[in-house]
Amino acid sequence: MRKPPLSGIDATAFRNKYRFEARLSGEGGQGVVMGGAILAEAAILHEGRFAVQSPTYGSRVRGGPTKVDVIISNKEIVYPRATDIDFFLCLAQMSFDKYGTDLAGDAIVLVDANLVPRVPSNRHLVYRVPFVEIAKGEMGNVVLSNIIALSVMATLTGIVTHDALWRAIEARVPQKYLELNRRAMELGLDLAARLGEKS
Amino acid sequence: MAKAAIDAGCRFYAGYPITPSSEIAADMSHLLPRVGGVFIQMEDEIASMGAVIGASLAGLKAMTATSGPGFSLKLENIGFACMAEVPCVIVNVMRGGPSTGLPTLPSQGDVMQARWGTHGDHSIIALAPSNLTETYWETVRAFNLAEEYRAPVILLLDEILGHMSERVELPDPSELEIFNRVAPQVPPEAYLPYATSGSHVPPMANFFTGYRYHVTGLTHDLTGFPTEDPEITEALMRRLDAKITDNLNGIIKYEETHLEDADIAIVAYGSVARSARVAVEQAREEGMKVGVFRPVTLWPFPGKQVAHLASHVKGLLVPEMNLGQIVGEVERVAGSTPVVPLNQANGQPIPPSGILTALRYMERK
Amino acid sequence: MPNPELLLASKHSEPMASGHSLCAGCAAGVIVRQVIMSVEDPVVVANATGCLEVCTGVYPVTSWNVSWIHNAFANVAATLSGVESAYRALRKRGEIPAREIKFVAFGGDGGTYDIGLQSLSGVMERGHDLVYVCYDNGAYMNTGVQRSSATPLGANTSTSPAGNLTSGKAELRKDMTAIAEAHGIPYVAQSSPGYYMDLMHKARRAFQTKGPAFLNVLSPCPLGWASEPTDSLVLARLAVDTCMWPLFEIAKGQFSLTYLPLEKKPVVEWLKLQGRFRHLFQSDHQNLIDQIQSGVDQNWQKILERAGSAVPSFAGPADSDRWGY
Repeated sequence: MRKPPLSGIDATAFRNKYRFEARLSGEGGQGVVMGGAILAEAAILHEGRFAVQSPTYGSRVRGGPTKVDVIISNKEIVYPRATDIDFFLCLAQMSFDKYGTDLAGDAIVLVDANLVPRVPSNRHLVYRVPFVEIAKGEMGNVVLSNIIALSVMATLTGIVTHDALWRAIEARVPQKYLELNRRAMELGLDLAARLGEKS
Repeated sequence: MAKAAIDAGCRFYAGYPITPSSEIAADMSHLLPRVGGVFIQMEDEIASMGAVIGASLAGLKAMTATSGPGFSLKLENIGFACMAEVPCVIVNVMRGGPSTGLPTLPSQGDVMQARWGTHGDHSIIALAPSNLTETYWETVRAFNLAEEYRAPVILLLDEILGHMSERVELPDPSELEIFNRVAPQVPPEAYLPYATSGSHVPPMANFFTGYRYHVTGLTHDLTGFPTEDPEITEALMRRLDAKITDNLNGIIKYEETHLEDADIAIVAYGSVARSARVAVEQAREEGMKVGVFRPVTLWPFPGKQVAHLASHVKGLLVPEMNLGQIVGEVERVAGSTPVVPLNQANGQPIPPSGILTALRYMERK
Repeated sequence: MPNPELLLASKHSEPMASGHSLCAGCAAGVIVRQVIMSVEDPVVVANATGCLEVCTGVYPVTSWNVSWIHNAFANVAATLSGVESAYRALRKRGEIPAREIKFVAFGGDGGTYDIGLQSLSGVMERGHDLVYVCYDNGAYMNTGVQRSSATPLGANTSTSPAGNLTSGKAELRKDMTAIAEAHGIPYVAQSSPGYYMDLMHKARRAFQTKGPAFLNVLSPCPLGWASEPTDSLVLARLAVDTCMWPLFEIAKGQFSLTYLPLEKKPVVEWLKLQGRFRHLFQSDHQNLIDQIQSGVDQNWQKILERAGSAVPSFAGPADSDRWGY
């Protein structure tokens, strides 16, 4: 898979960080927790590193704010929750309001442009991408928005290689949807390349 | 955990859906048929515990998993398992309580209930792993202990451990040391189901193997039939207690980190111990001499070890995701060493920073 | 912070306001609304643990404009019976104004067929004056689609999986309506939100009955049934038209069939719209489909025999004379 050049973010710094902390959040049903699992599996099973994935659910099986903390490191990870988040992905405003805490000073924030209209922080690097709209429009299925977002995240941070990410996705997706997911991942790659600076 | 159970020889699961333990039931429903085991989703929690007891008497290693409200419902039957000496494993993935509480958030609020929840005098074994690799090993150990001591064993997790995933290194199942209940050495005519020789644990005849005996929750004599005779009753109660309390060496397990030169020791278990470890690293960088004593076996509580520890440190910090349950056990053996509880019962984990702040406060005193 | 539209909707006089978080396509919300709309007196609602309870009452908002109790999973009937008994005692003593209040319990199939069966049985045996409505979606949906004793034969759930070794639920459904009838209570009925007039008429009768009344209402669930949210009421009607879920009532021991399909459809028409039965149409599961069909046929035959000559001459309960209103 080709790797587009990254803009203004030091990818190796994230990979070598003692504890890389990511929080993926959204509404129950958007695939956020699965996204966290894929990320962790990419790091553990396909890169041989350490990762912990710690989801927090609401009491409803569908809907309600949901998040998953993913910690990735080259060493054993002791505390399983994020306290100083390097990367925050959010696909729903209610989740941003509830879980947009503990962000590091230089955290990167990636939100769905339509579903998270209010991002109060000025000091963080904020990227807005209409993931759900793109998934519906260009891929015909809103279910793929988490894969696209994951791909953008991986490209921006370099925290897992695209190869590892793809293999983690492949292991979880039924055969007949593989091509669709591959396209979603490529789409994420393109989107990341085109992203500008702070918005 | 499901894999650990299967590897340990578990071939029966009866349970009921309850957040955050339902994943264990779903996993077992997939894994058990593949090894010729039995999975039954029962009509409620009480029935699940009953079925587990029945299956164990019939000769299968049996388990169930639940959370706070379900654990409350199972208590009467857990007491039955204590009295009738039926090996079984009960997993409680603790969530916020009491009552419906915080169904999807963690707590350590059922720790005392694990010890004393069921009525009457009884000893109990409860284990509290603190990471997922240890969860595997402690699940295997739970089955071994249940078989060795013919007793119910409780595995205490919390929602953090129940829902998280992390890298684990698992052994080859063939490398595991598995313990099975001791079968009777005498023919059926001579068999006394509750007679012991040497150890406090009677050999157990499974159903369908030719032995016929009486199983009851009533106080009973060596034949299993009920009695109210004070001498026999006293002997039974003492033996059931001694079965566990005389065998602490084989049951108690704990981990000590950085305690050799510590002034302050943290006593923490389960997922809180992870926060404690991080806090200790940070405290050591600040020059504080602190360490962690982590009970893996919560019940019987490693009182002797904590007492010894207390005599060597200036203070003990006990952080818990409850309003103070294990801290009482620590206070009981701490002598004149001050014990400081750090309590939080709001469904949020105790972060390393919280423990660090408490340590700094203790350091100043 | 609840949004302004929600606040406005909650000021509406409906006992259960819109804006709750039940899934799109969930029939339970429809059922509750139809049932409570059928009674004019104030109601006290008790709700067993489950989808309805957790989607209508999570802080800081609630959908309920009426008194509402959520107790433990197993005891909604028992708890409500306590309320009802206290109400009667207080009224008798003249300590509360003499005003008619109705009591209704809502439970899913998990809280009714399984863990709640015992307390429901107690209520029916003691004869409390309350209505019990079961919204039967055929599994423990909110905890992740585990099977219940209401799950139909062959359905794929997370604890009755369909794979190489097992083909979904291996046991037949428990006939909860028959169990209620066996308690000899004055009103028992089976209904479906797809035929809302049937449901509302029956709800009205249930509330007017002195003593325990039991309504078993089929509740399609797009999540657990893996069906389209827009198909929920279609499925609610198809279940009746395939005779999977006959509509009838038993009032003071008198059986009445309240709906006769113009054309009895084959059960596959209902099965094929649900992903939880998808495995039946792959590989070799025809005998399981046949088993399901013959089960439906046998049950329907028994219903027809019971109805005898009093089979409705047309489809639908539109005739108000029948209902005596």
